[in-house]
Amino acid sequence: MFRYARRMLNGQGDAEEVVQDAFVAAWKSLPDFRGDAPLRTWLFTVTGRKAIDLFRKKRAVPVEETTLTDLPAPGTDPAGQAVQSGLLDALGAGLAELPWLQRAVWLLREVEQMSYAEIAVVLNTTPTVVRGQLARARTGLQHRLESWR
Amino acid sequence: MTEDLLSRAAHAARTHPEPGWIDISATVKQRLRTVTRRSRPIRAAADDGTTLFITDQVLTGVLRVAVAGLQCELERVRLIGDDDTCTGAVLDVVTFYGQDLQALAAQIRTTAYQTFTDLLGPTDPPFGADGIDITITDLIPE
Repeated sequence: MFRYARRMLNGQGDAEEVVQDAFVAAWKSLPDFRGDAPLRTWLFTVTGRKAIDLFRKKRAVPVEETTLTDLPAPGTDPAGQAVQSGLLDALGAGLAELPWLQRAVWLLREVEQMSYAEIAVVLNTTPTVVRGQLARARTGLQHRLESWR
Repeated sequence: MTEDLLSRAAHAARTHPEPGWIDISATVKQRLRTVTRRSRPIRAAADDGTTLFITDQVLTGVLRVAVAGLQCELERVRLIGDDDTCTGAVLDVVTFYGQDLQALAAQIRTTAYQTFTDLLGPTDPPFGADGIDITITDLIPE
């Protein structure tokens, strides 16, 4: 949950606040948890909602679908950096540039390894939308990580 | 090739320990310990007659799981009883259209009675004295 929140919000302090709020909300509404979805899916749903709440509170601008702009500047040399942490930093930067939904779908699928159906539950959408958003997120990240090839 | 890179990045994100998580988890636990949930204590009896109290949330939670085994879902529960006693219940249940609802209601009633008497023990007045009313809503799939 913390990992998901941190990558979604791109900030540790915000992620900490979101995870705390999510756990408190989950604890309070635990008696109403019907078990329709696994507990993990439910907790990620709560975390996602809290992250969106915080995001909206902090940035009163609509989330828009962005095009593939702001590609990494040419001439950077990632090979010279510490590989894993550099790759993670690049990934974080790439994710931060993706639209909210694409970012959430990619993280839930590739990092948290949820199924399309589970992601659809977490994000209150359909597996078809998840599939489409994931494809777009992959394309976007591939462009942004081009210099790492 | 870039696909491999994305997989590598995902793997790194998955396996890389989250910085500061140890401290944060302690803070989260500390805050959770201060959060309270409203509940109603229900008087129960142990096998040796000792009086003890359990919360209505425990009764509802266990019943929810038991009823889910009957291919239906517990929508709402209202416990009947004075003060700290529980002598009956009103259950709202949702299930699929096309079932024998009377038979299902009988199963739910039996399950609720067994669940509550197991949890509450031999109380006086006993659970069930005020009956178990069941309302079933049957739905057709979209």
